[in-house]
Amino acid sequence: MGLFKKVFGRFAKDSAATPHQARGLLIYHNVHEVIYAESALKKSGYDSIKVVAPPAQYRTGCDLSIEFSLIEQIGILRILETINLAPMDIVYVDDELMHPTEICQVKDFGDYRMVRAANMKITFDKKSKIIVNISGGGCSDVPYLASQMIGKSVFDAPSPREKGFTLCAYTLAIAFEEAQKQAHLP
Amino acid sequence: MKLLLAGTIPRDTIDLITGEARIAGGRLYIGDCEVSLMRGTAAMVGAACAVAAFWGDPCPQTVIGGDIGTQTGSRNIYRYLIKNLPAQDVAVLGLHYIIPDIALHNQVCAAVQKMKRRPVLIADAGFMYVAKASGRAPFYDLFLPDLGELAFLADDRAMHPAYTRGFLTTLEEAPEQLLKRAFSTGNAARSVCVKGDIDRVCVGGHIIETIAHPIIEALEPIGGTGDTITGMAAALAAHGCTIVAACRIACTVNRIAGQMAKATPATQISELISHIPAALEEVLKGTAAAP
Repeated sequence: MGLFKKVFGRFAKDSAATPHQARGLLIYHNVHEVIYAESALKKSGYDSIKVVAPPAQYRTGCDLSIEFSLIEQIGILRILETINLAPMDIVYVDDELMHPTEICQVKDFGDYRMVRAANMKITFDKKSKIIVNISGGGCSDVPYLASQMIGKSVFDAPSPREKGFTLCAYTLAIAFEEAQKQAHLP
Repeated sequence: MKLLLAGTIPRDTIDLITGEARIAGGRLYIGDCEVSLMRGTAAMVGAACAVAAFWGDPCPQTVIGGDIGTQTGSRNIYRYLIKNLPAQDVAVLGLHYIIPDIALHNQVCAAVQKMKRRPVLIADAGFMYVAKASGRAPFYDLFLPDLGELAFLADDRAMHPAYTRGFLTTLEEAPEQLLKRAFSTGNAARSVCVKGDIDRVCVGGHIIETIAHPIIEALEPIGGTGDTITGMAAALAAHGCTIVAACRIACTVNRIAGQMAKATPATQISELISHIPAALEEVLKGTAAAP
């Protein structure tokens, strides 16, 4: 509740927006915690949350934070505290923040299909659905994730959301989830 | 000339290893430690070893951190470079897979400035991301992005490729515009080698070389094909090639190696690396497939 008072107090003082419009950011130490927090909140029905770039003072170069409506703050914090994922900070925002890309492109290679999201690419065998390659990225968990996913079906492979730690892993997860959809197509 | 390569490998049992890299029996060794020859830093180092061995050059020196994403190995590399670079004599420094950390990156740049001889600075993967995010891109001599990463360099607000806005859907159509944008906003190294269906070597925003043959479409999905270009370019620069020549040869050798390996989208990068010596010989003889 301490965090709530801090942020709500700032909101009440500084903002002309209504609580329904006002937005806050959950700030974490690393992307891994954000991925877990986002997943937990969406499972709890908070579908309006979005992952965004944190404000400049929190950036290290590989960062993610969660944007939420301040009106939902009490419920959100209750869930996060229950699973020991309380944020390191909460800040009020009024600027437009950058969102990770969710655009995927699909390229056909005959027996194989490749899905690209930003800098990450995942390729699977169209018949067996086996992941045959993962390409792109620059953060250190990409080779690790590739070693865990290649050789497994797109339906059985571990999700980068569960195993990854970085923004490259987050982007790979977007490509992976599109690959799962694509695997249902002929 | 001394080549130093730094980056992470996905082993959480390794804190930091340093030493000479070599390939023996198709396996990659850092000192006495065997490392899986897979995508990422290992592919870069393996390709550099293949080129160095071809010329009879000294084996590349390496700084390798074990990191599966928890940042431990990445921080060990940053700290090692910050502490040790000022006293080192390195001709070419290649920086690769790492978790971006702007503050530590800037300390590495400061350490480079303390070196008696400024090395040719090559950044790819995470180190290229953090170089751009920190606003220090022009400090570097060479970046090696693929098309998706070029869009990131061209987006002056993006701190990481994941945040790249717009123009991702028209990548193949507009690389020249993206290059100009990256250079004009100070978000590119002095030279940039854009890896794609057509490889483009650029200096100061101008495309100097294009490499389009042989066409091996299957290279795009194979993880590590960009890493091998980076490793070869670094080794060629250490051998004495200009950056433009190093990139041109590396891109062509990569394609020939793919051709020799009869690459499919399921081919793994270790297969391509095994063909680098023969592919390099073919390219240097001038017998590689011409357009």
